[in-house]
Amino acid sequence: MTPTNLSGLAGAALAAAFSFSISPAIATDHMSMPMSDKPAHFKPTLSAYTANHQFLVKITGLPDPIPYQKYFTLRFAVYDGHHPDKQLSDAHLTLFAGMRHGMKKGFAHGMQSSPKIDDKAGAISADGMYFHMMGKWTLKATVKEGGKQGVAYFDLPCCGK
Amino acid sequence: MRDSSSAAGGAVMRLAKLAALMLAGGMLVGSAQADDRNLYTTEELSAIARHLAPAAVVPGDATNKFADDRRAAALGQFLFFDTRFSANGKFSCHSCHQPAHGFTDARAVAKALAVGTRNTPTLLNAAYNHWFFWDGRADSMWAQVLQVIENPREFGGDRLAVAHTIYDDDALRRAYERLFGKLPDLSDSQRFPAHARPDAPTQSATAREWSAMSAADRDACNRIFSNVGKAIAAYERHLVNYDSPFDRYARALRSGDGPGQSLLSPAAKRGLKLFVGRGQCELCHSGPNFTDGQFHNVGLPVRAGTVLDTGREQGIRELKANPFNAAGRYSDQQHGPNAKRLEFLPAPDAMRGAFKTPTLRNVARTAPYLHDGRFATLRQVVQFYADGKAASRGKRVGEREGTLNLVPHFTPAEVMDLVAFLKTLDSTALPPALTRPPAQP
Repeated sequence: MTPTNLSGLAGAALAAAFSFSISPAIATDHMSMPMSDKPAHFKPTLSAYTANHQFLVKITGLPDPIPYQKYFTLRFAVYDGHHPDKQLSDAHLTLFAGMRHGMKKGFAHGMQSSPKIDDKAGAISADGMYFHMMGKWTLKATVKEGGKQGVAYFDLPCCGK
Repeated sequence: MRDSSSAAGGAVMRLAKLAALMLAGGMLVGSAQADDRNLYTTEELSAIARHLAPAAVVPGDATNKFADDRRAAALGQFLFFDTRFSANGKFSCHSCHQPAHGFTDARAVAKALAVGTRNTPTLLNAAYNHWFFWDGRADSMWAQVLQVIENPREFGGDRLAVAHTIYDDDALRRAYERLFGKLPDLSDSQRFPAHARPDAPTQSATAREWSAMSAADRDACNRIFSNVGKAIAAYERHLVNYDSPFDRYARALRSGDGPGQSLLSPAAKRGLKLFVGRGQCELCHSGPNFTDGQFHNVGLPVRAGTVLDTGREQGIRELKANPFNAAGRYSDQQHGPNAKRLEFLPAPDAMRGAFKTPTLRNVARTAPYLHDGRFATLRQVVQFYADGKAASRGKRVGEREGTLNLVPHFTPAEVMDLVAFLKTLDSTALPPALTRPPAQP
């Protein structure tokens, strides 16, 4: 056993004694040492309208949690924004995902991946999504259908393991 | 029947007394040894934990079925130090990847047969990389090796010479054939010229010789060439070390080990807090290797007299065209996840001027810094980021990434604190048996 391991064992005993002695009333959150590999999460946007409620875009398939630095797939369905029960089978989607990092306009950076979008027969999937940085990602989904176009935005949390 | 409320009240009193006793005990323990966990916020502690060493097992590489073969690693270690693959017989992988310099060469830019244009990246923990070279033009460690052998500024060699070197050396040939199977009869110089490679200048003798070979013979030589890369990669995958003062300190923080928390100097602790917190460094320098493995344009001004280097833009083009990429014929998993990544590569021009985030592990030993080695010291590097847009004035290649604006101004003292922290990422030395040439292949 290395000296490091020995001190680790001693430290563990010390930590056990110390943490046990702190009553919940006085323990601060950082003393509780969550040491989690997961950053804080928020609920992802799962549906969004384009301007003037022209289209309603729903994310119908999203990994939970979104994996960190691994490729994943998103699935979408597009509806008539004025008749949200009416799914549009001829809608086409283009995507841009990036992080704003507090910027009010534009993105600080985008994804380093160019997803393949399959939008045949209304079941739209985007394979090859990849979030390389922890935090809030913004997905910009541009819908084209019947000569009309609109943009919907989604906030997605990054990430789990 | 007992009064349940009074019984409960008694229990509360006993618990309160117990808590008071335990608190007193804890305070005594606490006063004997300061607890550094109080120095950091919850978020900072979580961030520190995310930098701890990854699982002991190095990520697999299904494109190289010999990646975890010990015999391949032994052969690869022999070849790593072998100078015969270079055109003048003087350079080996070890020439630029020296253990004493964190498996770099301590030069601003690499120099072998000629002076290159880029700084030599470390091989330590490179097995965890997603992409290889500063521009990611190789998608596996074994494909990276092959480019070095034929790069005219580096080894200036060629794949036929590599094949003949193995074929003509009995010991080497036996070691190769034990792993990869029988070599073709390379003694027929009509079929297998002494020197040939496809990417030489069109009118050169080596290019003409390559064109004159049959498709089957070219394929056989490419197979030998790729196997050489796979053996060297199998060795390089052992160059892994996560035992640094930072790791020991972070583990001590996690376990509450008091003495272990004295492993870093006060300046290094301030630097660590800045690194994982306000400094925003870990947006890009994330995870156990202190890198996101991706590519960023940090807005470096073009220096007079240097070539315009488009970085990842050209890297993506070369990667797609490389027959030794993960989807290529010489990959051992042509339809796996690594090959799939090639379908998702971004448009090259979107990545103009971007270079891979380097690992910060062992960074104190790998000076000079950045892709062109323009900064001699860590202080200069940190100061560049601290200076923000002002440091990026002048002609640049591509667009500076907005993420850089998140890095705040650092005072001179904070710069030195960050440098003090970065120096704690220096790992202990690898076992000597891993860092010297073996007697036999």
